[in-house]
Amino acid sequence: MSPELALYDSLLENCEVVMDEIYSRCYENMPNFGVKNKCFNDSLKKTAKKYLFKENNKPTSDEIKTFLIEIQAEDLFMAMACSNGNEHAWWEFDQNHRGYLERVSRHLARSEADAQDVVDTVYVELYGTRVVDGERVSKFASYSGKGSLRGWLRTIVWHSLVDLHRTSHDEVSLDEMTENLGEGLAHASFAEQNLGGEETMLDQITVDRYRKVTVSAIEDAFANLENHEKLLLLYYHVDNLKLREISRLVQEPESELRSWFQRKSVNREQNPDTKIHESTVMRWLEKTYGKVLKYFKNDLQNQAGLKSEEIGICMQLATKDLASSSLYRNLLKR
Amino acid sequence: MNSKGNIKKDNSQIAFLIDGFLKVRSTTSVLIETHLDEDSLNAFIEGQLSKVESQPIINHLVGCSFCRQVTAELVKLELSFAETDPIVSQHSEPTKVSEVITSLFSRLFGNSTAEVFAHQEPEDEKDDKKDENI
Repeated sequence: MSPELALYDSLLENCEVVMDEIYSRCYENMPNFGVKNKCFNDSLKKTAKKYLFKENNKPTSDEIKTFLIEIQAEDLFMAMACSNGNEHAWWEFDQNHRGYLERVSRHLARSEADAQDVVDTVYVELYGTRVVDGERVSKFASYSGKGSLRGWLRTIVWHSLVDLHRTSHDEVSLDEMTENLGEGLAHASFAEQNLGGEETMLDQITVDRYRKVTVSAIEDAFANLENHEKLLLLYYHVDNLKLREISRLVQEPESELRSWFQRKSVNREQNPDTKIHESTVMRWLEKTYGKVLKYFKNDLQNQAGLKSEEIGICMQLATKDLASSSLYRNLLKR
Repeated sequence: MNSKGNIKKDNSQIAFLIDGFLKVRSTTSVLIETHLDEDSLNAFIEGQLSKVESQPIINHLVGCSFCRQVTAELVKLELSFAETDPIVSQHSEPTKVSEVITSLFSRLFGNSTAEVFAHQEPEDEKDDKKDENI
C-alpha cells in the first residue's frame, strides 16, 4: 500500500464514529434492508477517496467528517440494499422513484414506446446483468451518495436514452439527439459593425498581419483565463446555456462555481444563501469579457507591439471578418 | 462617448470575438477518451462539490466538449422538468421487483430467467405482503 493510501486509511479510521452514527440513523429508518455496518462504512470511505482525496490535498479530520455528514446517506443506504438485491429495498425504490423515472423518461423521449423502453432498460441496468467473479454487478454500485439519488437516476435515464437513440439511428451526434431540448442556436446577438473605410486604407500585408496577431491574441487571452471562467464562456457561447440555466447550475450556496465568481463579494459573505439571478450571471460574463479584453489588448500591445489605434483597427477587422466567418478559418487547419 | 460607454462597446466586441473563436475551437477539440461518470456529473450539476472536489471536474469539462454538453443538457432538463413536474406524482402501483425484472427479461430475451433471482422471497412472505396491500 502506498504511503498516501495508508494515510487516507488512517484518516478515515478516525472518522469511524461519525460513519457509525450515520449508519445507525439509516438503519433505524430502513431496518429490513439488510445493509451491514461494515459494508456501509466501506462505501462511505470509497466515496471519500473518490472525491476528497486528490493529489496534493490532505484533508483534516474535521473536513472528512463534514464531507461524510453531507453525503446523501439514506439514498446511499437504499442504493446499496438494491445493489445487494434486497426485496424490501427494491419495493421501496420502486414505490418512491418509478414514477419519477417514468416522468423524466417521457419528458425526454420522442414516443411513449421509447419512454417505456428506457425505463425498462434502466431497471435492468440497475438490477445488473453482468456477472463478475460470480457476482452480479448492479448499476447502483456506482452511486456514491455525493449527489441525490434522483439526480443520479436522471443522469442514468439521459444516458440510456442517448444509447437507445444511437442504437436505432446508428451513430448520431449529441446535438442531433438533443435538438428538441436545447435551443440549438447561438444566442450571442452582437450587431455587425460598420467599419467605414479603414480597411481600404490598409494594404493587404498589414491586414494579414493584423489578422494573424488578433487570432493569436484572442487564443492567448482565453488560455489565460481561469478554468471556471472558461467554463462559463463555453457554456454560454458553445453549449448555448441561457443565463437562467447557468444560474440554476450555481443555485446551491455551496456551489464552488458560484463561490469562485463571488469570492470577493461582500454580499455573499453577508447572505450566502442569496438566489443567483440571471442578471448576476450576466455580470459574471461581463466581468469575464472584461478580463479577456484586458489580456487581448495586453497581448497585442506587448507581444505584437501594436499601438492603441492599431488595436482598435484589429478589433474592427476581426468583427468584420467574424461576420463573414473568415477570421478563425486558420484554426480549423491546425 | 464617455469611457463607460466605450467599455461596454469594447466588451460587446470582445464578446463577439470570443463567440466566434469558441465556436470554431469547439469543432477542433481534441477527442478525450475518458469521460466523467454519472455520479460525478450529477454531483457537479447539483452543486454538491467543494472546491477541491470540483476542480478536476471543471478542468475536465473545459477540455471535454462531450461531457460539457451532457452537463449542459442535464441542466436544461433539470430546469425544464422542474417547471413541468407535477406536484402529485402519478406513478404506477409498485410491483415486486423480481416480477418486473423477470417480465423485462422475458420481453427482451423471450425466455424465462426466473432462476437468476436467488433473492426471491419465500411464498409465505409474498402472501403476507399481498395481505398488507389489500
